[in-house]
Amino acid sequence: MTVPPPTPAANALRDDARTLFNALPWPKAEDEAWRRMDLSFLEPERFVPGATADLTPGAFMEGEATSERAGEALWLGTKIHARLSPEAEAQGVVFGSLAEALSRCPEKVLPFLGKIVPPETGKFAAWNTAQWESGLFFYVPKGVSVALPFLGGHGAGAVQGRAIFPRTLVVLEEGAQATYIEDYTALPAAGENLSSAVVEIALAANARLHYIHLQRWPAGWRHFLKQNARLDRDAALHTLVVATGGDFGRADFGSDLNAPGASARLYGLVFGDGEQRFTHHTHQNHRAPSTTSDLLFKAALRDNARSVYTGLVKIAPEAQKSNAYQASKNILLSKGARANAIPMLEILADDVKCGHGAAVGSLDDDQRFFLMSRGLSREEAERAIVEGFFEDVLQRIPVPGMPDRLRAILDAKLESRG
Amino acid sequence: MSSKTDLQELGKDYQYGFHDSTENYTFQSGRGLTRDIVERISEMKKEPVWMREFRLASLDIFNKKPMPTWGDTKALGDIQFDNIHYYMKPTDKQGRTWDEVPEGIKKTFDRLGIPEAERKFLAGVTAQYESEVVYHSIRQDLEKLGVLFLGMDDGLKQHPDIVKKYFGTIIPPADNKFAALNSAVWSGGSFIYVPKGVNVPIPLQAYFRINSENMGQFERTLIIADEGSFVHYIEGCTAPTYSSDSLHSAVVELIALPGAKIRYTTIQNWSKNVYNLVTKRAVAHANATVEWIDGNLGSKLTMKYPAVYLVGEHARGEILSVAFSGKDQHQDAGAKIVHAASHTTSVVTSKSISKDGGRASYRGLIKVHKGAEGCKSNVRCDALILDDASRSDTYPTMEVDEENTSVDHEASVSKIGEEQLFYLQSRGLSEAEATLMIVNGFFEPFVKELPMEYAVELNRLIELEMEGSVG
Repeated sequence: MTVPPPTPAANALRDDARTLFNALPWPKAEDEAWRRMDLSFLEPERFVPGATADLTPGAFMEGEATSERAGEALWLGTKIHARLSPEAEAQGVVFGSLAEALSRCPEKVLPFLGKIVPPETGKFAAWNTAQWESGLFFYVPKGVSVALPFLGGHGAGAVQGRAIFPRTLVVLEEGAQATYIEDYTALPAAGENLSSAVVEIALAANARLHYIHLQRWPAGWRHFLKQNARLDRDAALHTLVVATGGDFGRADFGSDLNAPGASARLYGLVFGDGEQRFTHHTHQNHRAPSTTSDLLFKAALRDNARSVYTGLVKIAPEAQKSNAYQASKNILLSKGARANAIPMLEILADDVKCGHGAAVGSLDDDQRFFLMSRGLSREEAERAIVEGFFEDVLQRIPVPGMPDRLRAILDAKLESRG
Repeated sequence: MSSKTDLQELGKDYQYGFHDSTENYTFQSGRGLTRDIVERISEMKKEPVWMREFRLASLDIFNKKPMPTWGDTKALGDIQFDNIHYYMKPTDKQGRTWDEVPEGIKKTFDRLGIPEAERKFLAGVTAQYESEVVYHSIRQDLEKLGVLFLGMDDGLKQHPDIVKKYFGTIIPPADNKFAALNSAVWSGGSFIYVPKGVNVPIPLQAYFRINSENMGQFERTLIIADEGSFVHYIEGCTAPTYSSDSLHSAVVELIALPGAKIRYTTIQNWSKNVYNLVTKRAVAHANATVEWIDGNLGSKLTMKYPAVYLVGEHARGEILSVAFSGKDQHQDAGAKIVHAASHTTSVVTSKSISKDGGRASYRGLIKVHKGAEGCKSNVRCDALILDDASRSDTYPTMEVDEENTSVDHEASVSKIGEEQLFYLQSRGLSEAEATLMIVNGFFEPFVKELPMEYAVELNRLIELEMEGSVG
């Protein structure tokens, strides 16, 4: 099948982003948003754009099992593997390559592409907007509700010195409902690679989306993510960002609550070990009255792993009767582990409920003692406590089977003590 | 509380807004800051060479340092450093009894009620007018125990060895731009030394007054509490209301040696044309305790984050910060605790109210250094927003480099609960009275830490600020 060439509008978006990218400086250690990070990880210019090798669909989280899913669209590296169930297709769902959608149905794509994470957001957003090749487009028409989840994937084979630019656009029309899981992974290789991703989510009035973002890059990868969701009246977003992979990860995610009744639940789950470095920034932008957001971000850190969390709840003057909460919980499992937490509130309306909490602690000696007195070894006791630490996030995932899959991913990492 | 219009007028009233003539001043530096002025200040004060060098080195740092890139950068950008008088000496002599203070200045302080307060309950008083300490006294029994309570300039003259040992060690000039400025042009402030094991049972007080327009007040306070001693120091600040701005940029250094306890209380009620950019930091050695009780009611912009560095085991830091931000005000206040030794503990409590378009921000840092085991820290911030024109921010930072730690932060922002208001109104209170009662209750943890006279005064100030808030 041949893909028609991109429209002039799509080309203009790329060109403008390229101009912007060239004009913007790379982040410096003095920049407030980057200053808690070791920027020696960055050196983005020594990576060559584009993957050169593929992985198999099975490398993604059970990527070949199809019966319990409504479709897959998996970027294997240089090519895409896509399947859509006949039912979903009949309902008008579009799921597959973003470039193809941009040519075939630009009217569905262009109103949103580069609008929810504009290239003006910063160097990395501009970079992706100028460079992306492996894009995914997930579209659910008005009033369509699909019960089975969809699986998206961004990946690469065993590559070295490569930069890839995963891009995802999710559009749910009025009253649509869907569950979308997205997995980021590659085959292990000796060299270093970079991924600079953008995820845009547009939810029309009354739309409901569950979105799960899994970052499982192998060692040697560094990952940058800009994710934002735009919610219209009474739309509801439930999103979970999981980060376990790569050497260095910086992910910004959040939502713009643009109309009354919009609500967002944002969860983050980080498990780091070795020398891994994670930085997460979340935003909860309340721009309309009676909007709700709830954020819970949990990080467990072992060995010399480090996590920096910053988050901002912003309540605009017109967003009266809003309700926002933000929590950052960190557990340090080893002497060398470190955590920073900076939860911020900016509140410009008076009739609101807003709060936040943050905590950094170690394994509770009493809990460990109790478990060991019941016959568990020290390692088993620790594992039970860490599993318990993540459990309250896992239990809030309303996607059948998903908590167990995530438990398995975290368990595998817990056991990999080297 | 007669009618709504009267109440609103009252709310705007700043009772310390009067000012005196500056004609009879002994010395006034011109506007702007030059090397000459710094040398002149040092010369007039007949300072030792090292202090002169310290000032000049600090001036270089001030000139080189960029302005902070965080906080209220817009308001900071409006400061006109060239329009400020950096040194003003209102009189030649320092009074030891109230009668020796020049008539005009005395009148000002009488209007502010200072000697009256002293007679009532204070162990010692320092009054600073513009750049110089104009009045100073201390109870004789404390003097006999070896307690030193002097103006900073006299401290340097009479106890150069102690001053040289500690001055600028807690807040070096290079710490930030405003600390560098203060280090270059400092004048006045308090010097306190409490000998080993001495308990100063009643508070020492200082009172700071800016009188002229475009004045820069740069007092410098150094408190050393030797092993096992205790001292409570209180400062209050006011200034006249002018159409253009003044700058207050103090540096306060506290040293609590092993087992000592220092409590430092500030009630800042500068007029709404004063930039209040202050660096306050304490070091607490083993088993020592430092408490900052910090009340911010006045000023145009306050940026102030009292800090405690816990450098000895089992040291404790406590910071209670209260901010009231009204029309055209930004209170960017907070707290900073550094756990640099094991088994150190800290508690930070912040309460803020914003009203009439005011902005109240909490900005804080809790840092736990590697190797500082078994530290515990708890931070609690509460904010009330009284109307839809006002704003509240919370910017807490937690940096934990040690596994065996427990650090907690919690904050809530809300408006006054309708149920609370309804309950009180159903008991016969007016809405204004009910609101005031709730606000007073909100500030209660702060007020109860103050000596009674201050608590009464603070309640009165809150009442004034609150008047006209609800119709």
